[in-house]
Amino acid sequence: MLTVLSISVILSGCIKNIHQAELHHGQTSNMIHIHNQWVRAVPPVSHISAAYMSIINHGSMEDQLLAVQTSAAEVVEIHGVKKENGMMSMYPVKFVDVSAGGSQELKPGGYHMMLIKLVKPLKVGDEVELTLHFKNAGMVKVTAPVMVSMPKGEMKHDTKEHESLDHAGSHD
Amino acid sequence: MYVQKILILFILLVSTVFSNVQEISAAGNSAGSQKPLRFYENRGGDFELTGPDGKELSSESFRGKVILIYFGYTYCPDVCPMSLSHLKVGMLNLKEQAKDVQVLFISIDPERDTPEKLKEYVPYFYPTFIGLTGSVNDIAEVARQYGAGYFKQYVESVEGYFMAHTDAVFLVDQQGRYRGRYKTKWDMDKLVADIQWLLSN
Repeated sequence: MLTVLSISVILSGCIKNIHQAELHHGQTSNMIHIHNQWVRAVPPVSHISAAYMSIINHGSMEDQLLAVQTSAAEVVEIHGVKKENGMMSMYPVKFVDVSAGGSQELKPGGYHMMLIKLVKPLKVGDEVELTLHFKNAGMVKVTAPVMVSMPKGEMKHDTKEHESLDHAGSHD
Repeated sequence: MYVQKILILFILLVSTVFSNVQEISAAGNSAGSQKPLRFYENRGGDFELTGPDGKELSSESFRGKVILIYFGYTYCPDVCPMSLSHLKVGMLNLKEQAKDVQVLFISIDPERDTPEKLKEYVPYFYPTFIGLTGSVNDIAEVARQYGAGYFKQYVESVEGYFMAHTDAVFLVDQQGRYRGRYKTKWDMDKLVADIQWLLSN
């Protein structure tokens, strides 16, 4: 454990600059760094949404995202998506692996956190606090902006509406 | 219940077989090409489902417009909103021609998706999008016509069940004829080009 800690101290020293540069994007623990986190803006009538992010594991041990909590929803479940018989099928998972020195993407059409029973509607510009529980790294808190999902590269740049609809950013 | 399962399995089988055929033939047209779009004699066709005001709405009422049909459900947190966002991008890229295109979002989860829910949910993505629902049997029939598969999956979730479903958009021309099937994520440029072709021919 000491070795792991010292490695993580050394590593966190090495990547300090990166952390400083990205501090406004995400939060870090000693070993886990979260960035590009966002929550999907949904119609007010919807009681569900989804949260996405990149999880980077700077540690020398594999880690697992075990659970997520937020004050924005009563329940958060972690789901995967697979293609089966030409159909998209969603399934709950108990955890998501993040390999040692590796990363895991939670993105549209893949792993995501499903926010169920939203406490109030999520609008563009809102922020959602998420508490992630990792097996080794423990608790990591992140703040995720609520955004309209606009697929990158598919919007023609000469389209006038582009600016107004895409101001929230492109993430898938 | 048993009969229903068999029916759904049958729909799946048929749709899987057809979907492969469709994707191969759709790949023949590259984006922006002026190659005429082919017809599919045994695909698609008119239908009548429940519209946003709880009244029956017939696909015939959209004659003269190009129709895009997507089968999804509002309790879908990831794939459906993503695809509806892609369709919005398509509409924006069509600019003023978007007024000649009607997106229909058909719920494959009619037990939970009421006309009222769809009325508030679907136009959020683009004001002219329309959500349709109906009886379990009527929706199964429309999905069969278009070769869309879906089934209910009971899972360990507070939601109770998820719907597995085909993530594709079906293109119908101004005369109500089926003209192709597209992936919203990958084929949007081609779909926009094909819609423009239909509108100019």
